[in-house]
Amino acid sequence: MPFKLELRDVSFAYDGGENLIESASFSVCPGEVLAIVAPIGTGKSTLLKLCAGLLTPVKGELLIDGKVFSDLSMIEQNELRYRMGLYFQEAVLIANLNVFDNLALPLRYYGETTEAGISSSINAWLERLNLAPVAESLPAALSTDVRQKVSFIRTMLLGRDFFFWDEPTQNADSEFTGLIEAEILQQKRKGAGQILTTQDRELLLKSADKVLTLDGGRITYYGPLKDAGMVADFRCKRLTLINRKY
Amino acid sequence: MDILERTGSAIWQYISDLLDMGTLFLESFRVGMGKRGRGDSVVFGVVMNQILFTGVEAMKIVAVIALLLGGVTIIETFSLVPDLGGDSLIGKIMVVVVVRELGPIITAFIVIGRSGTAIATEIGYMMVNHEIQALEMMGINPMRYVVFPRIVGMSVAVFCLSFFFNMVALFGGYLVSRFIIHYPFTLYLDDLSRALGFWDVAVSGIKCFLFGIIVAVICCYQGFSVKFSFTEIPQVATRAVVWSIYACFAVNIIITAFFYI
Repeated sequence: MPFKLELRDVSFAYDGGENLIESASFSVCPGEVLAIVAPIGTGKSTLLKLCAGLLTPVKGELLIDGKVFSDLSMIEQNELRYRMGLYFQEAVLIANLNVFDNLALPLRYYGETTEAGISSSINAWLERLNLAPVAESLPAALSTDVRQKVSFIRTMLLGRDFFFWDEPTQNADSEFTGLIEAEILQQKRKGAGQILTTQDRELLLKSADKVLTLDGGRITYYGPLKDAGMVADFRCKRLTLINRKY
Repeated sequence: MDILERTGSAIWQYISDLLDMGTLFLESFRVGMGKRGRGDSVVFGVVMNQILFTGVEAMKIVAVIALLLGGVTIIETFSLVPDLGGDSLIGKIMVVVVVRELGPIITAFIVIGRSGTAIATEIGYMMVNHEIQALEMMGINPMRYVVFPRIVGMSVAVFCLSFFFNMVALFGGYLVSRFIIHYPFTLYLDDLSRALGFWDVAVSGIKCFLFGIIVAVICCYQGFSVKFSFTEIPQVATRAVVWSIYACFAVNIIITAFFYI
């Protein structure tokens, strides 16, 4: 079931360093898409990982449908993540498993489908993205864009209740960008909550309901897209949001 | 004061590492044995791979070393026996040297060199490449998928390898006694059967089982200690080997003292 995700007064620092994220509070309801917009290196991916419970905040808490995430048992946390689709820029795959086994690993682990069911769903996605020839290849033999496509398939195979997208259209060709946009919109219609970091103006305008801007680890704007003043820098195709209030 | 402070700090670091390793072991078993059914077949596959790599693939090197050790032990024994007063010591010495002491410890050393470094290095790479985080992203607990199968696989593999080592070493002893010193097989067998008791085999088995657990826990722990850089990986692999050797020797002497004093 899609759930509401809430971050309450969360701060985060790596290994006792300075706070990278400072007192972040926001929520994402089912069917809602929140876009995080900020310059490179300002903690967008970190904030996304905090939302997915992959990092532990030094202060504040992550709530899933009102329940504190850190209070859940390890098994409950993992089961929750199994139902999330997480797409990160790094497109990390398990190095000693081939593409098919990488995609099959979580499905086999949770054993909710038969081996035939797993094969058919994976093969359908591989065919759709023209990746069938690399099904037996190890990740080291793949180019970055192919790894990103495999990572996208994994996101779609697992994600049901909530999706996290970290710069999904960066380095993607137009066809792949179109597919990502379509899937984000389809999941939105299905009622899944989504958080995406992006500098892609079109994707932002098409999909986001709310926008959050970060500056120096602090939230400078969090609210509806329509209320955010927006200046698009078309020359470098990066998007800058300036909140009228600040 | 500075020396005292540094010594205290180093001791505290060791204690802290020991406690962390204990926690890693307990947590992996808690997660590994909890909620059975979910992921069992995947985890079982990793256990089997670990046994294959640590146990089956190490049989060749173990066989060669065991054969040579058995032969050397018999040659040395024969050179000592006239001074010690009787051939009946051959079996006793073979049991004490090979089965009780060298069998388990040499097996552990081979496993540390082959598989221990491999585990520390592999997990180190997984940390730097964010593969551990990728597992978490898929809802797979690394304790259950990475640590637990390696501990189980390694302890089973070392246990079986040591049994194999002992058999081959005793056979090596027989070959040398038969073809070089012309000691009759029946006499050799008789010596061994009189010297070898249930507890010799049991203690050897206990040692090996513990060595497997210790080496796996230390190597996993060292692998997980890698944080940011690939250059940390050879350092943790070296540390994993050194710590494993220390730990195996310490446990070996404790068990020997406990059972034989």
